[in-house]
Amino acid sequence: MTATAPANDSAHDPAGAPLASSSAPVFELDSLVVRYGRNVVIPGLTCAPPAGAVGLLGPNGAGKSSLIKTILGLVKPGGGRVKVLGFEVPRHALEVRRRVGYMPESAVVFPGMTGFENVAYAGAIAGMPRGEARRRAHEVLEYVGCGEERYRQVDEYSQGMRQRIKLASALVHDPELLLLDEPTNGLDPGGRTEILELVRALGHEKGMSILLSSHLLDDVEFVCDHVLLLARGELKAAGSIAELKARVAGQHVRLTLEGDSARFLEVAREKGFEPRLPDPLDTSEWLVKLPEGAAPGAILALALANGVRVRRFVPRRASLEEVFLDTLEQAGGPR
Amino acid sequence: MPVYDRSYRRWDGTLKRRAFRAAPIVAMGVKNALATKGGWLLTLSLRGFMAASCVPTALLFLLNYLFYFRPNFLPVETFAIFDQLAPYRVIQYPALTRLNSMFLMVYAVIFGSGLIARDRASGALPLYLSRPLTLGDYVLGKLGIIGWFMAMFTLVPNLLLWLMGVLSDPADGAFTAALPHLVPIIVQNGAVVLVYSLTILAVSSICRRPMFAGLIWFSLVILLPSFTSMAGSHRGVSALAAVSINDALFSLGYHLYDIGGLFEKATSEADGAVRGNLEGVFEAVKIFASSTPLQAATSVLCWCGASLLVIVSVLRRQDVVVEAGTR
Repeated sequence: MTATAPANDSAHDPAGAPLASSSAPVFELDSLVVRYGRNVVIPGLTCAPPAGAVGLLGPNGAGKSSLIKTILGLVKPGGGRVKVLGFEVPRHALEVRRRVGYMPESAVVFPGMTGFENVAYAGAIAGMPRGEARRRAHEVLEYVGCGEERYRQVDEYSQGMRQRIKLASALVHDPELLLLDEPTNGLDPGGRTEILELVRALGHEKGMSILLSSHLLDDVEFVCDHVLLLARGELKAAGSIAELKARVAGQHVRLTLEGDSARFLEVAREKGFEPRLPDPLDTSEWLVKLPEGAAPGAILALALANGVRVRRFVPRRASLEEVFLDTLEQAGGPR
Repeated sequence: MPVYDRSYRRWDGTLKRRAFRAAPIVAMGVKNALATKGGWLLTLSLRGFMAASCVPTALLFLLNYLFYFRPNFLPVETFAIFDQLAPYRVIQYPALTRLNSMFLMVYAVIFGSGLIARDRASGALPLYLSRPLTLGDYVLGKLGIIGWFMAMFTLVPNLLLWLMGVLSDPADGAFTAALPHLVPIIVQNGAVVLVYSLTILAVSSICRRPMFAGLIWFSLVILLPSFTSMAGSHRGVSALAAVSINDALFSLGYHLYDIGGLFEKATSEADGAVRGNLEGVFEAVKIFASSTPLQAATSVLCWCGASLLVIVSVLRRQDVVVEAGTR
């Protein structure tokens, strides 16, 4: 059942190219079960998201943090298989951790040190030579936008500064996979945009794989190309954001009707369409959910057949939020 | 105006596979502990205390210098006393350990009480364990930090004293004669380092505030000998004394250096004045050393084992290190 660990000493694969640039999945979960005592958090998760920036979405208690901890080898699976960057976890957890950068959710840093020492220390315990760790710490601190503040004690830092230090610590050893747990927590709007742009650049320009867990859907939409949507530890949706949005959007059309439309709406309901008023004050604007397999034009044809004038017909563009809510609704809603 | 490239650059270096993965934790911990923090008064007090804690060692070095090099300014009669004291000079090692143990207790509280407590309070444990470190590496690293300070004030001074004796003694076969002393020096001081370090770490792991950890540990080490001695003599159970950390450690030294045998020898062979001086030292070394060798060794092992058990079980219960079926 266990795979042989690739025998490479560096943080990159033997060919020198980071694994993230390949099309192979960064991690593979096969019937993963995670339980704490009798409480089963993940009852059997199977997925293999592609390399690149992947968002991890789900309501509270969906098992996002448990999944990240399992990938890091901090939580031992109760069943199933986990492979990260080609290494079996938890058997080769240390190998995985050499190649993974983790930014935890809480505002935690190594206490009693300066920001610079924090990052250099993170590099040193990851296995970087001391001098290299110090040089590299300056480099990544520069990247995350820490100026002279890096020489201040971390205990005096604001939440935003701590987030930057955490990101720099996760990046110092140049990981192949970056695990980010709510990276914009506590940041002001300016700082949030800045951090998201940095993370996006890492994923899209530097070929680093990213797993971003966040409850802020805008953050995920800005940074990621793919999403995994969890609810109660089960995978409810997975795929590229564009595909998912198209799927949800393709099921709805916006109609602006003129005249008496009551009869038409009744017929539409009989035929399986689900019209509803997004704005109760505006009775002319309807959002219609199409039945399974129906083309958007079908509702238009039905309106013409019933003598209703359609002033506007717009297939709807869905946001990630709508994908999220729609998927959860189909799954029976959050617990 | 210079233009700096602030974009992200990949690192093309190689991560080291250290045999002792906890080495960076030890190095950073020691450096941090010695760094100037908390204002000039605190720094000055710490530096002053560190200087004071070197006094017993410095005094013994001075005595050894006088003993071996016999400078001209000393009265000639003194040399005769030195010659009589020569067979008993091994007693300086347990005496130094005992003197330094008073400073060690303070060092353990200053440098050890916050080692795990601070990480627990700030939630830094996941940061360590998300790196290529195991829980064992983390504990070893923390043990290394406090162990470094403990060793610097017990094991190292004793070894230097022994080395000074070996290098300065003009007698033939001085090295061979001194070699057996190395074993008790290493065993007793090693036990002191290990027990003090593990117990302070155990207390630090159960507290979130270093101050509480320090207070608990100090009470444990200071109050326990008096309590166990009193209870032991009241109940007539001598083994009870071995429950005390210090009694076990001092008894270990007492038996390893065969202080009882030396005392008998001094009583029968030494002159009155010399015997009088030696008796004082023997009595001092004997205080809180009432356990048998077996009791002392068992107590040392039990304290080490129990401390390790506490540290590991507390840390494994942290949110970050959970295994299936443990939470």
